[in-house]
Amino acid sequence: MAGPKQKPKGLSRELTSLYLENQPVPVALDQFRAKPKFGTKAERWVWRGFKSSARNDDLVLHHWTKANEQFTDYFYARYNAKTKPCQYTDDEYTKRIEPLDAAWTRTETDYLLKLCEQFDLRFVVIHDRYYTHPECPKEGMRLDRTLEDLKDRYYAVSRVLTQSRAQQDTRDLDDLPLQATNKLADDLALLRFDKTKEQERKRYLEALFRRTKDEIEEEEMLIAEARRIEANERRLVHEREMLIQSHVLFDEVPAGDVGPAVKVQFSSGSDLPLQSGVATPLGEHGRVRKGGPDGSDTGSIKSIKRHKSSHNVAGRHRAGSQKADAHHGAPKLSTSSVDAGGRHRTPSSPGLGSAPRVKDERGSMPPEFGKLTFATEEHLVDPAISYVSIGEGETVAVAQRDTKLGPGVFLRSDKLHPIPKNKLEAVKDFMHDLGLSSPNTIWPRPVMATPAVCDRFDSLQSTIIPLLDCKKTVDKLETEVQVLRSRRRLLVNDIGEAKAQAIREQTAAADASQDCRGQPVVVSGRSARRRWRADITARAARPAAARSTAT
Amino acid sequence: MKAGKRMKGVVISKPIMYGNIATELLTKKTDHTHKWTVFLRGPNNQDISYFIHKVEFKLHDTFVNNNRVFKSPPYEVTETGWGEFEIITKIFFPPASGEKPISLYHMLKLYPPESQVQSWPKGKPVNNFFYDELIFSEPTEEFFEMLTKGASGPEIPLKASGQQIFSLGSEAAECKRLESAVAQVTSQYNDYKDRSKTAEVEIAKLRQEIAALEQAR
Repeated sequence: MAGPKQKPKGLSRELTSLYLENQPVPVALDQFRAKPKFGTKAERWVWRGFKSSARNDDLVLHHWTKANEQFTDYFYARYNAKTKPCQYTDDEYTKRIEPLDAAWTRTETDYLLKLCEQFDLRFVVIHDRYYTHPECPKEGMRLDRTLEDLKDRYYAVSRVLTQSRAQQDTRDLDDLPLQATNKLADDLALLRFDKTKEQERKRYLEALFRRTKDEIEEEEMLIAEARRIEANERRLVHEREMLIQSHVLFDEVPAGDVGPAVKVQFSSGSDLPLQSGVATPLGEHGRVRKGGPDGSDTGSIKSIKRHKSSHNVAGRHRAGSQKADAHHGAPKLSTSSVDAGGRHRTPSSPGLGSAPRVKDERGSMPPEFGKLTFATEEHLVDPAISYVSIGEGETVAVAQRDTKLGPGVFLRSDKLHPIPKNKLEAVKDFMHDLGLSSPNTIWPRPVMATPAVCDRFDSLQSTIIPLLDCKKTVDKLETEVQVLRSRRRLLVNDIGEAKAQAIREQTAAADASQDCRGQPVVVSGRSARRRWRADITARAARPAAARSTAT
Repeated sequence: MKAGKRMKGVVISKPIMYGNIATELLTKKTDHTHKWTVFLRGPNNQDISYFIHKVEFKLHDTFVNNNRVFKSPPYEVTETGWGEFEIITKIFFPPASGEKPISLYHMLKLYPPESQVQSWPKGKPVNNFFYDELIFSEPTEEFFEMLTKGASGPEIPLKASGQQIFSLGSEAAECKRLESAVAQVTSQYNDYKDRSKTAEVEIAKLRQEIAALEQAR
């Protein structure tokens, strides 16, 4: 056992004291601060009595003060601020104040001012004590003075007094010096009091305080609405203007109203009713095709009117000037014609009374117009045309799909009608099966996105979608048929072949004729009677059912 | 620069062709397997620069200077690589038009389509072409002048030849195909409609019978 005096290496003294016994316990000795030594001698303080100027009696209070201190005034008397309400002489009263308000007598006004002085212009207190103050003059006083009345009277009196006093000082001069006028204005501003406004304000505050929860919520909603409207105001105004503009543009003809076939016979150069009116004014702008839409041919599809064999002249603007003869050889189009690209819309068979393309460019009439002939290629047409006015009262035929474009640049393939996402895959697969759509794209697009192709592609898309829907419903219906068939089989097995046969005949008979009666009924025994009754009701139900299916 | 007044009711469309050609590299120096060219041009190889101010091809980030800008034709980028990625072709129009640039997106195709991979002869280029039309709706007067004056020659060839695979002939063919498809679809639709009608009638009849049978139970 190690002795207590041994100092184990590596361990501190404190640790050893923990596990060894009989260790000396350190004790904190009391340490007192030494008494501070001052250089100076202590001052002498005296218990003295004092009076305060703020008091209006002679009360003497005592406190400790330094012996050598002079007593001027009680230190805190400076905070005894008193307002000084105005005072007037009798002369002033009769001259200026009395004419102000007939409802106030001299005594009452004096009384009011006395209270103002006593209570430091604290009108709430004044109003409270107005009728219960010991010095209240009981006679000649109105008994319904409100707080606003008292204030009003006081401030009116003060204003009149300041005004007259300021003017009195400079009675000799014509007008007051600038400084004085400013001072007067300031003083008067301080004494402004509008009784009606004050009453109103207090009424509002009261109402505000007493709002119910519902009212508060309603107000908040209205505020939010108002803020929203303000935020959107600019946008709404802008939209309205755009709407007005676009309406004005198309108000010549309702869009989509293509019906009446305006046949334009172009067989001879002279017979060009539309042409003549158009040539000159449109001269500057380069020409837009004019033409007449022919009757529409609607298959079972309603979407876009397609003209299989009719002649339609595209109202689309083609720019560029080029002799397109190089391509077709046959057509002798004038130099002023053509589209940038020799894309010709040619009528299919001349037999149907050709309505050749009218291309009028820069106001010059094609000289060889009457001799236009076209190669008989497939006629690729714009199906839907609407008339657009381009100012000066002229209208021009433009393909309807183009009228819906706003200003700007677009890709034609972007302008196909979008397919709803949930049908996208199905439509893509369908198109792929048909071998039509271009691969590697998210949504189906045609191989060559020309206007004619796009129109047809669109119509294809818009027929595929109802077809897919119809397929789905047919599947559903046919599965239901299967289910019902199996159910019937079960029932037939339950009942028995012969009986089922009988019932089937009954049903068939019911279907054949509207009212079915006259099935012989065998009544024998209770169960049979029950069966008979059931039969009757079934038969009664059957005609009703038959009638409903027949309709 | 303020764009001029827009001409209402005026629509001009310009056909363009874009895409890529890829050929397999027979001698592979790096791990690049193909040499490809991505381009933008007119379908009849005609000049399209009169309405195009500049063209930017944005390639994959792994390419040096992956934003290739061309202010004059030919608008083509030729590179070597091994992967297929999306290329963004951004076409800028002259400032006089006041039009915003338009972007075309397509995948760079290096390998022949699945169905023909086996039979594809070595060294035969893989073509991935797209046809589209830029529709300029309500162009400004200045731009209109540019568009109309600058056109030279027919913009779509009559027949397909060589690289120019989009032609009036192909357009007509596609229209024919689409029309027949529409006819097919409508006839199918009518078939299905009829089937649904018969099914409905059948259902009603079966329901009747079942009701009767249940009563007789």
